[in-house]
Amino acid sequence: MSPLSYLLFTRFKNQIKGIFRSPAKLIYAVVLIALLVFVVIGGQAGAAESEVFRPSGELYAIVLGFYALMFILIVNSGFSTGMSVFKMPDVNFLFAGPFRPLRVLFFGMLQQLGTAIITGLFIIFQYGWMHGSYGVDVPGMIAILLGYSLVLFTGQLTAMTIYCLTSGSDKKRRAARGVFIAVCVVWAGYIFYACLGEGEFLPKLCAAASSSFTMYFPVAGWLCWAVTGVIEGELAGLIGLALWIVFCAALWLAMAKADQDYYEDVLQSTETAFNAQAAAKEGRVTETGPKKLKLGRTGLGAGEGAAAFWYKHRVENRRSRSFILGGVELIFVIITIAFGFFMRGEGVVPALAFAVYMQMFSSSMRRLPREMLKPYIYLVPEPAFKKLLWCIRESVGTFALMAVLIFVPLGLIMQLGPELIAACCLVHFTYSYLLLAGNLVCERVFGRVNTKALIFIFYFLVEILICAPGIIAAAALSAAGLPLYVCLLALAGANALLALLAIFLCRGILNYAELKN
Amino acid sequence: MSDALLRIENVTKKYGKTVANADISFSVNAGETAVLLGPNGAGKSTIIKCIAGLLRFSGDIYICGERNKALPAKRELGYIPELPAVYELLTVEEHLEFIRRAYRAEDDGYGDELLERLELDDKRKKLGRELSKGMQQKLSICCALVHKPRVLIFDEPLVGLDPHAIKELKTIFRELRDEGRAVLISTHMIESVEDYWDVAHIMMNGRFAATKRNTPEDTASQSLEDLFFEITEGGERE
Repeated sequence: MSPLSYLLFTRFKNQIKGIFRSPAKLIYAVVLIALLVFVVIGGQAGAAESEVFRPSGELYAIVLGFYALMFILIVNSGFSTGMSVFKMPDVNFLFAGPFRPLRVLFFGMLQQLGTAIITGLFIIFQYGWMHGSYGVDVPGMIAILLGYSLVLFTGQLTAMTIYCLTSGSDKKRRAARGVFIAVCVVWAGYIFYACLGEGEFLPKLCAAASSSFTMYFPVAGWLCWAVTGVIEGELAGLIGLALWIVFCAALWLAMAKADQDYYEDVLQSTETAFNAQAAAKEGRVTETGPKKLKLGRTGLGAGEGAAAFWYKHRVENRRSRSFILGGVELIFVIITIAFGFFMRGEGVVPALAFAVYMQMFSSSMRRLPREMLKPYIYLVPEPAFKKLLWCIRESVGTFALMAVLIFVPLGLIMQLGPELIAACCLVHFTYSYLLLAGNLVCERVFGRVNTKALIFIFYFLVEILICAPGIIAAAALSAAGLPLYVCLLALAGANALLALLAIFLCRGILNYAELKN
Repeated sequence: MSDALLRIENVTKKYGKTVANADISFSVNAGETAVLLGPNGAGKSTIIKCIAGLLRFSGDIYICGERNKALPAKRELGYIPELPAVYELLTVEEHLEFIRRAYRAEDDGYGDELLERLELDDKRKKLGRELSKGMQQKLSICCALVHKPRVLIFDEPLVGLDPHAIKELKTIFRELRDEGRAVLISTHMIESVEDYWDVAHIMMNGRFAATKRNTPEDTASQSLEDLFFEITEGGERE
């Protein structure tokens, strides 16, 4: 066995062994597999009732949009920080070792492909609605998952290649960026143009998204084409797959021929990724944001006692250019609106449930975790509950805006009344704080414990527990025949109370810290 | 009733099965400078963090007569951590403004004075992340002092400071003592505390191995340095 194959195989073997050696990891793996099986079986059962599915063009439009979004975001990083398919030990042992750079590159690509497939597992959790609404079966779902993983993998490879080929010259970088933007604009422009004119918007959008022109969009279009081929059983999908293979081979050759010595370029991005991971493991959170930032107006301006934290956060957010909504939040908003749009015939409740489900992945405590790694939050002589409330106040704008951005358009699409739109916004807003409270409960219970798997399971259990009373109350009112908006207002009220209670019960987090560093 | 501003009573801190502090008791009076000496891993930083309320422990810690977790106690405490704790996106002067506001302290010009003394006055508009480690340490010191606490705890305060800052900080230590504040300094560099300590506790394996007072009688028999090496390279001494 060659040394590189040995390394790849041994790493994989040790990862599997590691699962069996750590009870928490084993439980996590078992629960995850059980959940996946449950989602698939549950999804199958649910779909038996309906035999008429929505137009498959809608699904392909969603898949293409999602693939394209991920690809564009990843490739864009190739123009700034770069992207690496290597880990720091690879740099230390393989780059310095007696291996041909091309073989090392191939090793890195294989390694990255494995990571990309694991990252794509979350798609299985979408099986229920994909199967119920569009009749996607298990092979189809696996094709979508593989397609997504390959988009991630190819995006990273493309970003790395762009970075390596353009890192030495601003002119080259600008030219490459220009080409990249032009391709994206032409593609998006075509879809936009196709949606103009008379007729219903959705069918035109779906037709445009699944047209042969859009399927030629690099990587995302090709892989979507291949996935479509698998689901529909059309051989034409092979063209997409072939285009993707040619593209990957071209990237590999470009790296090999144009820049044999790619190590230097990859080193910096690998080190950056390594430092970020090391900081996360040690509990350090470094500030993101522009390297050269504009100081702007100085001074907190106001705030006494615990309120000083909020005014400080405002200054910090302004300097780090943390806008009310970040890129991730915007993506979640778009995905949720798209889901609601396609499910509009089912009413607002499925969209609301989906929005809350997506919140579980986007829920963030913003600056509070950073604050908890510095001593001041513990030292400042103010009641802990008050300090917590002032620290989470910065989320109000984000949570409120997300709710409005999702439910006002959906309300207009579904032609809901203003009272129902307002109730949905309120429910979404209060769920944001309920999920944040769930995060705090995990912090309170586990502190600086680093067993992510254990925390993840506990987090889901806590969320289920604290979400239950509101759902039960809303269901009871609904059964009593009250209007939907009243049920939702009751749900929002219960959520708000429970979130406040959970945060209050967690206030000890600032009294009984275990701040070692 | 003693005039101890800082009182530690039977404090034990364990990390799993490892005992970092075993039944530690001592106090620091008003106008007194106490030092904690000991090799790496002796438990000095642990007891400092327990006093600051950053670690869980068993036992009692009182600051100005109040339990250390109580708000009046927090108000009277200034803590300088071993690793400088500064906010990357706040300027030097915003750090001081933040602390003043958070502690509801008046802006009486003391912050400006500290910045000048520690040669940070020309760095007022610099962000935390633009400062060198030494400058961050100086800023950490300013933040701990600006609200004028009556009890100050320093964890390895001189590490990373330039000679001028070390000299200035030593002067500040003496001033704090003269103003009647209680100062506790943890360090493993004996030579750095030679000229301003009142009482020294030498720690080994999470316990106090010896306590020495800076009186002519006490120091005449054996220097602090000799005692330190006798303990750390020999055995315990009552």
